[in-house]
Amino acid sequence: MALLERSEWYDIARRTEWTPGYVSDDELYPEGHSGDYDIPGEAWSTYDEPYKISYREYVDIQRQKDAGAYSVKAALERMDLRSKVDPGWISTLKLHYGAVSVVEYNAGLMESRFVRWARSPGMRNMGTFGMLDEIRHAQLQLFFPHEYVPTDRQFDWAHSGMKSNNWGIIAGRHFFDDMMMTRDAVSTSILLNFAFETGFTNLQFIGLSSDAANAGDFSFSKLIQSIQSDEARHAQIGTPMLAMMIENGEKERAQRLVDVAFWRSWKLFTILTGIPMDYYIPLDKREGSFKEFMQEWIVTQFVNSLEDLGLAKPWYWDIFLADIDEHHHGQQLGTWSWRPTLWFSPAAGVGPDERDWLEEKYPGWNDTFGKCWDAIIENLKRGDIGRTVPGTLPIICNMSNIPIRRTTRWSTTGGSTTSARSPIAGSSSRTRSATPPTKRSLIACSPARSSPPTSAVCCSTWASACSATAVATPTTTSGCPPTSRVPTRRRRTDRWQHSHSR
Amino acid sequence: MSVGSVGPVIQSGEVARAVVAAVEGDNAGRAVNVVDRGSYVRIEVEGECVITRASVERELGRPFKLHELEVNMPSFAGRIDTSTEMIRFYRGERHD
Amino acid sequence: MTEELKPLRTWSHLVGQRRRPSEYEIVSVGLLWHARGETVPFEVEGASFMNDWVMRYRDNSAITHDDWDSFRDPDELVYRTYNILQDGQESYVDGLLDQYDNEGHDESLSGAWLDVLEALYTPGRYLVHTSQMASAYLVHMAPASTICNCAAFQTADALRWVSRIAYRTASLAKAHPDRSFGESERATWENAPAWQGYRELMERALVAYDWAEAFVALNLVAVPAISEGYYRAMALSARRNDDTLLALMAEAALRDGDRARRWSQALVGHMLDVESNRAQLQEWVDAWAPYGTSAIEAFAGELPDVPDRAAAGSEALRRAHSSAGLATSDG
Repeated sequence: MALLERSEWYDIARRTEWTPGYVSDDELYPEGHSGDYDIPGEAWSTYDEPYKISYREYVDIQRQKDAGAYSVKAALERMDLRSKVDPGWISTLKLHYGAVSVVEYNAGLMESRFVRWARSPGMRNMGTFGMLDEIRHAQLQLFFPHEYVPTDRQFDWAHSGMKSNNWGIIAGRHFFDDMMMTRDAVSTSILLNFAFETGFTNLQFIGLSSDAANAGDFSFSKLIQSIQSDEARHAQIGTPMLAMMIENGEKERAQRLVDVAFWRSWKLFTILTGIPMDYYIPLDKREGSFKEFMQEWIVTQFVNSLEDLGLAKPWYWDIFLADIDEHHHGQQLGTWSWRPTLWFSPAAGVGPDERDWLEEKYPGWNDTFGKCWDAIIENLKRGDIGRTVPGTLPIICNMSNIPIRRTTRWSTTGGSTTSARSPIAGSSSRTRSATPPTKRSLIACSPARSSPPTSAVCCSTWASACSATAVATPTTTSGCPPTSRVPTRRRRTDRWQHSHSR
Repeated sequence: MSVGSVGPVIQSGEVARAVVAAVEGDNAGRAVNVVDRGSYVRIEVEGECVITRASVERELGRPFKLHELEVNMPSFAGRIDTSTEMIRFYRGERHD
Repeated sequence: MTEELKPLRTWSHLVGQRRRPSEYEIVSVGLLWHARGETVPFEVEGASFMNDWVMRYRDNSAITHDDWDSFRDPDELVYRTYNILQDGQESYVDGLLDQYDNEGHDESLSGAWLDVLEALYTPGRYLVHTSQMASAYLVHMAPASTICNCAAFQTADALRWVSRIAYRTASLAKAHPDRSFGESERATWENAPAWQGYRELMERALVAYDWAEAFVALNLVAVPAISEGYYRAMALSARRNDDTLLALMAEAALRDGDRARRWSQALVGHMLDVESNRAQLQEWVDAWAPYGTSAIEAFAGELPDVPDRAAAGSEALRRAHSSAGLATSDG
């Protein structure tokens, strides 16, 4: 066909900036929505989205993608998932859908904010596709689990979960309200598109697809990779913005945004991805450990692109690296122990073979986390189920809204990490007094700044409560001082934050 | 994955096999490393990775629009540059 | 441990419905966690910018309803069907472009008509882009996901036509390099009298922050005004000046506009479930309609060979209001 190539007309379609004549610029682009970054007017038109697509191409490609995803689902519809796959995989699905489906929808709202408030027309157009993408992801991830609701009530959480006051949901909602729903368009494109989407979502949507295929859930494996193919495109909304910020003297703020989003994302994904990969997925179906996927997608791929764009690793890098070995193991102990509070049935995943695997992937696991499980297993063997369900509440981080966990390894072998001093100030050129409020909250939530356990428990605040010998009631809340962006406190009877005296 | 390598991640299957072969042809003189992760393959080329429409069409034996690659590409390493005849993954200049 | 809850045949929130839920309902209803009736929408400190904004312009809008989530898109579009629909529509437009290109269409246009295209057609990408932006506002400000979805597809429709206008602009520039296609549109949009009615309407609609007022300004006035002037009057004028390609493309755009009208009427109907909403809706329609009428008249008045279109366009706008169940404004 004698049609024009996209490149022949594309630039015209993104030259749509004009000077308002009937309303003021401030009304058209209020700071709270459009950002207060020191980027001159003419610079906005230099925004050049690297991953280009036209509307015509979009509806064609997306139709093809949907045809693929829905046809796999249809082909596998007759398969009774519950009888065919391991219960650990079913729990992985429930955790995923409950934490993801409705979030995707609201990510579409975030993208629509770019369409209205971004000052770069190219970003407004890419935001339009991003908005459609996220609606796709929500609809796919509601349609697929809906099929399971008639056989398993817990799948209802795919739809209802995000409106609940479950502790994990509150953590997720606070994350997304903070990173995705309430910042200006410029900041959001760094926090969400760049840090979250080019970084962490790969863990869940590509890493987990290998495990899904191994577990025999081809429908889910295909689904999440198909979803991620949209993310790969619209995640690039943040990249040119990052370049513009650096070129216009806003590098420091860009770095801070990455630092904040990276830390918050990391904590969230320890639960969402870390626990399923290393505990729920049947041993013989595991493509790799969570740590190995972290190395591939975050420590290498994401950091390469971060440094390529001219930013540095987050200032808490050493702490983060140590955390990869530990954090999700503590969260697994906790979530399993507080299993009555979950919308899925968690697998413990600590049989003899699994423990060998964990020891191989995380040397030292048996001597630390393994000992907590020894106590739990002893109680279970004695039939003392009551001692495996905590009678007290963990300390919740005031920023991440997930339980603070800590191992003795932190204070003995963690190198710079003792509770008495602040290794973060020492390992960073920034001084605490120069630390902006959000960063201060990161310091507050870092393991090193959390208070030592009040009894000689081996693992964590989580684990202390379920140890066989002592039920340690946290006596201090200084582990996580209030931050400048405090989640809205509405007193509820069903949330753990009651342990958090204020 | 090595520090300077760039390139696409492709869902395993027909397109992945064609893209691997296309990358090998389009990037002669550079080492191409392919990591098979079961449901996806990671294609790595040091510094820069080019994929042309002509090569993919030749390997697939059918017409192919480069934007269709998106259907099978859930991620990529490096920066991306897209046109109708070529997709390029590359590293930028360091700013600091 | 508690006993296991009985399985449900669908999402818990749809169980009460007698009918088996459709795919549309399964994937579209009740998806805004920040509109679940808590004291503030978002779980960030109460004094934050977005909490204030959303409380003021969404939750405390003058237009109220106990159950926004019960709104349904009359077309029941989901993402999947939207793409199927629009992929087909875009194939149709590709076919038109290909056929007319083969026939040497752009070279055959008269000088007088090329003047019209420069002055009144290609600057339209600015107009349609403003409706893209204004539609996107409704996406993140509407109080129910079923409303957000309609606005989202409307946003995408606008980008569709921004793209097609840009395509035609490039095509015309290629055929007529001596003219200013692709260069003069911004100045025309900002200065030419024919565009100032639309520009004022759109700029004001973009800063109508109350979500329901934004909906009235955009979907009850601006979108119909764009349909009646920029597309319908243009299509007629184009046909009378041997530009059948433009006439057919404009009519294709009107099909998107028809879908916008259907959900807009449905939403007005939903709002009128609450009788006390009527006065406020009417007040806004009365306030905004004159901008729409002026825009149509200023624009269509300059199109050749369609002397009656300015009046007919304004009449169509009034009809749109009466068929939505509101009194017509004298505009």
